[in-house]
Amino acid sequence: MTAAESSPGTLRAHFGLWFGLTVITAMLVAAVFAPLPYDPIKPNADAVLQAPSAAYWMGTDSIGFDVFSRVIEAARRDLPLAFGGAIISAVIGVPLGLATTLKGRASEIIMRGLDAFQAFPLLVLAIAIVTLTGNRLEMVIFAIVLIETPRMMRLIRSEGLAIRESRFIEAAEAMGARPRRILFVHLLPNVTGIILAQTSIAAANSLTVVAALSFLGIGVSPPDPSWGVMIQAGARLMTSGQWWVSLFPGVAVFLAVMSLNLIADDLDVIFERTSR
Amino acid sequence: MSLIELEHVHRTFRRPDGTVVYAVHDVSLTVADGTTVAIIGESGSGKSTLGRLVLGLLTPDSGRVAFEGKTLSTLSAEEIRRQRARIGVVFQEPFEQLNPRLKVGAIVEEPLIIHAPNLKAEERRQRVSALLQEVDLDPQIAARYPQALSGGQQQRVGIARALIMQPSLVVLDEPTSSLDLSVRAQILNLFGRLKQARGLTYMFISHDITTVEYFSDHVVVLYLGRVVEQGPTAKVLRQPRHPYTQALLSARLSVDPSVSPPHLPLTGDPPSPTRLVSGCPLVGRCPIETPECARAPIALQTKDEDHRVACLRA
Repeated sequence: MTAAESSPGTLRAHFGLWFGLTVITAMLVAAVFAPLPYDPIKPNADAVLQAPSAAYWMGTDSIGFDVFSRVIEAARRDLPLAFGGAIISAVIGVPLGLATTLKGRASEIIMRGLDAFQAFPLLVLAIAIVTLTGNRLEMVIFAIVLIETPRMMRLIRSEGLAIRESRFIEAAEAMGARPRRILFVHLLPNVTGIILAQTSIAAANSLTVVAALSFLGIGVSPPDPSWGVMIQAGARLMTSGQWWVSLFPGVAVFLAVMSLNLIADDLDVIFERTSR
Repeated sequence: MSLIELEHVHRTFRRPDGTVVYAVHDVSLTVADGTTVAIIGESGSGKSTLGRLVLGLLTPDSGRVAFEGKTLSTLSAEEIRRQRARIGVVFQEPFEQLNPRLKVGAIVEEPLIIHAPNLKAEERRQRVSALLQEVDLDPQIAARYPQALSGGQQQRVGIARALIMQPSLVVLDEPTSSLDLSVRAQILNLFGRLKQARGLTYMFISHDITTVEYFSDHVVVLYLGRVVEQGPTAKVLRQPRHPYTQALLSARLSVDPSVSPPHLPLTGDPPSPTRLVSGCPLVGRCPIETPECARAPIALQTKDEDHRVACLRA
């Protein structure tokens, strides 16, 4: 293990990480800045079920919406929900997870309580929360945070407990470091890779749930696009040959989820290698 | 003056399955200021537990541990924390004792940040630099991560960190046992030089008798958490009186042909530390045992001024 191995140069060898980051960045940039060729919530009755062409890059659907404009517009809604949920889970879960690595019976009880949450399927919880809070898709964030925060805590705790047994932690205790210093100076930097990887996985899970909810028609009101709604709208058209209506939003979900998982996999490998 | 005093110190551990391990059992010893005391014994003899009791990382079940005249159990958590500045520690594993995410400079200066928070960053940097030089490292190394260093360099970083608060005592927990022979000699010489220059006291935990012979003034022999023999290095290692010490010494080859260690092999396996024996812990393995040996605990008896042995037949 030399310093050179952890330099950015070798990161280029991690294709998945770079592919994933490129795709996710492109999607975010497109969602924020891309000018839309057509109004995503105003259908054109004269252009119904058009195949992809120079005028309509991804074709149009049965109402006359431009699929390309709506795929981009949907990213503005779906990605922030997924990332927001994942990041909030990390922000809450990491300090709590670190705290539970301190010795004490309280942390054991907390973890048992959290197991109950984890046993609950995210999608079912999400459906319950979204429908009970006025059918607004934004509320899915609560479901995501409720499920992903305990996952993050559990992971940080199990890694943290292993690292706590390290000699360098014992050395820090022997020099008189306070618990807070041990948590944030010695433990936290050694779980950074895991935090990033888990946040990425959480975002992928969240995106799937957001898409599934809107596919089921939960939390969305008609003209507003979401990838799940669009897939649903095109699902019946697949058999009659209008494949483009659900294919493109489907590809968007697939690319985003795959990219987030690729990022997580490579982060695991990179951080594992630089620390041992 | 004695820097460390242990009086009838006991420490047990409870395993997850409920059995109790008697790691340190009724240990009394003192370490005089400015000396090097070696704690020797096989793995599992309680050497490292003893070190951690002195560091205050473990508290004794009963008995008294005092450092610089202050009994650790009477101090508040904050006082013990302050006390930690007076004791340095170097561990066996050169790399594992250093946080892989901190640069060498940050590792060495950490005790200063904890114990001298008012010190300016520039002052800290200078002290780190001076200390790195004192342990024969290039101060430039402060900007590197421990993974990029050799085992010997990592151990020197550990030593620099142990010394930065100018402690009176340094606990060396097998500090050379995972190093190459050539590096081992260099590190031992460094310990000798630092002791001279700084008037340090060492508590040297080791199972390497050759190193102990070269390095220490006094030797304490532990067996199953009990002191079986203690005294000046020359007496204990040249004229061992306890059969366990004799067996320990006969297990190595002497470089001095005039010394022919008595060959007294022990029979059987060491008993489990989970069983508390009433008499001598060596009963059942000892070549010279008598029925008397198993009856009652055997106290250390002074044999030759400062040479003390816990054996009825010594």
